[in-house]
Amino acid sequence: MKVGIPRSLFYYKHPHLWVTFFEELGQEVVLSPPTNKTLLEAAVRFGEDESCLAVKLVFGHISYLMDKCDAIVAPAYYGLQPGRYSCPKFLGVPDITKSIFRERIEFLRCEVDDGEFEPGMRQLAHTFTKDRHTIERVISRALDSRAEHKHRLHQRYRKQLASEKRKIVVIGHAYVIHDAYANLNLLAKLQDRGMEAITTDSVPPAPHESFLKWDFAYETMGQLKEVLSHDIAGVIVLSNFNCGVDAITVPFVEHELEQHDIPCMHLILDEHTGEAGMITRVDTFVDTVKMRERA
Amino acid sequence: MHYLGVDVGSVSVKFALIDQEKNVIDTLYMRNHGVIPTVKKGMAQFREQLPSDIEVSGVGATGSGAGFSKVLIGADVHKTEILAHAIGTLHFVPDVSVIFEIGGEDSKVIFLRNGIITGFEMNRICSGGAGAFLDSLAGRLNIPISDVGHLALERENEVSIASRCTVFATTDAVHKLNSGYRLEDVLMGVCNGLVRNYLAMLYRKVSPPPYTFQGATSRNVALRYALEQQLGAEVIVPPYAACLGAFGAAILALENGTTQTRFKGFQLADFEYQIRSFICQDCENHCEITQILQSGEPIASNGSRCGKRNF
Repeated sequence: MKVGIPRSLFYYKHPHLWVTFFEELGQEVVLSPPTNKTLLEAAVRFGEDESCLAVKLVFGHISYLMDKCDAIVAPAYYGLQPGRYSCPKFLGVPDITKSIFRERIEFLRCEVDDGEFEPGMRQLAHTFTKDRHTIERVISRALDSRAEHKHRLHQRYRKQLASEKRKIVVIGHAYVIHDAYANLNLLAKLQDRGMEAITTDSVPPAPHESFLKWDFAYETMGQLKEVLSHDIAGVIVLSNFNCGVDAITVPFVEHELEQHDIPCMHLILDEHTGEAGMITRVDTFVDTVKMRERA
Repeated sequence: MHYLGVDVGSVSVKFALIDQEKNVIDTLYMRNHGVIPTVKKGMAQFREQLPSDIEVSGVGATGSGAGFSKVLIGADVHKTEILAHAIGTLHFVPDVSVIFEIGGEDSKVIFLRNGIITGFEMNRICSGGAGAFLDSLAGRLNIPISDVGHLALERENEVSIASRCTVFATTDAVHKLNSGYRLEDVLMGVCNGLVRNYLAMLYRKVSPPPYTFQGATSRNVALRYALEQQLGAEVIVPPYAACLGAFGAAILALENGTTQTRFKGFQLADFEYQIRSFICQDCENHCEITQILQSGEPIASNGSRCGKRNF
């Protein structure tokens, strides 16, 4: 079977997890390419208009995969941490796909609640093989690949902390900060301006108490606590327009940074392709950060 | 020795010339009808109004259209409009704490402490609540934009106009006019709504005065009045308020310490410039590349995501 994985949403959180899972099951994996103009245009055409750009983009990636595979992976993440929730919009992807595309395609679902991947993975693997040893091996390899990826991110974070350059922390959903085409290459723009861009997905969250119920909000506050214990020059929060989870998260982030007197800029993206607005904001932010040091 | 500042915004182009002591020699404000013709025409017109013994030793460019104009004019420094505005304002109001600037398509609030920018807010996804909206509404009502402020101050009754979105605001204003409300009352309602929306979006950290208000919108007395009412404090409109970005850019050029300026002279009309745009077919991104040509040769190019066609 040819299994299609859209390079969008949670792919960016654990890029190897589902690739490993299906390859270990002996299936051929087709990955959509990084977002480009064609996919973005398809996303805007197919995506339903109340969604954020990231959710629209998944339909752009699905439109690419439609005639290249037999089934598409659409994991249903209810919550990636015990007692907390993911964005509910992702759960609707298979159903919305049915209403958008005339072609029919099978979806491979895996339900994840409270951060427990194994039960859902076991169920899904069972549709491919009945061999229990194989299933357990597949699951452990997949989860190992996820852990290794996280480990590499943490290593990079520690290396970045040791850098001589000014450190700018970029907060955002992994699928927003790492989709370079959709976010107008923000990370490269910071690097071009001599900044060390630390993305929060590489930061191990510090233990903390929080009543915030969203996965992202909770994790972000822990990561913020961790980076604030180091010398950082500024924080950029990158959101997609219409993101409900960010609407809850960002005020908490801004409040925390105000307490620490660290400059913060909130950028909201939609399907912009003009870079002038982004460049003005990034340049000014970098100027501000440098000016403050001289004060 | 003189320094030229050019601020190319989405709605207007501003020029300022200063001497070594940062005294303003003159300024010019023009509507932007396309970067190349406007900058060309502006340079020629600005030259006309300047004394004859001008010697430009440095040029600063700012504004959202600075990318091309810096090549066109031969600028030595290129800084963002936030920095340019802050530098320009600090010259006249050294202890300014908050700068309110409502431009054509961009609105900004700049926070300062002891002459240092500590933060800024710019409108995010939408340019609603900026000057261009007022301009298009005035056009629709067939009133010169320069009269809107004075007319609005002659209001008699409070009229509330939806302010969240300018599409709704226009509908609301037109509807109220059609149902017999006085023009002056509706215009004041629009100005109040614009300021209310602007402050709600961008001014969420309350800082103590002194406050300044600038950009071409600061000429609108009703907007200034609405801003003072809603802030509950006096708002200073600094000299050359419409051209402070250009003035700031000129100061930046002066402080840059340029020894050999790239300035091409005021007579840009002698050069033949063209803009060309095409879609790069080298990869799936199909970037929209725009180039500026001088006598058929590209002298600046941008729009390429991978960077290979940017120079």
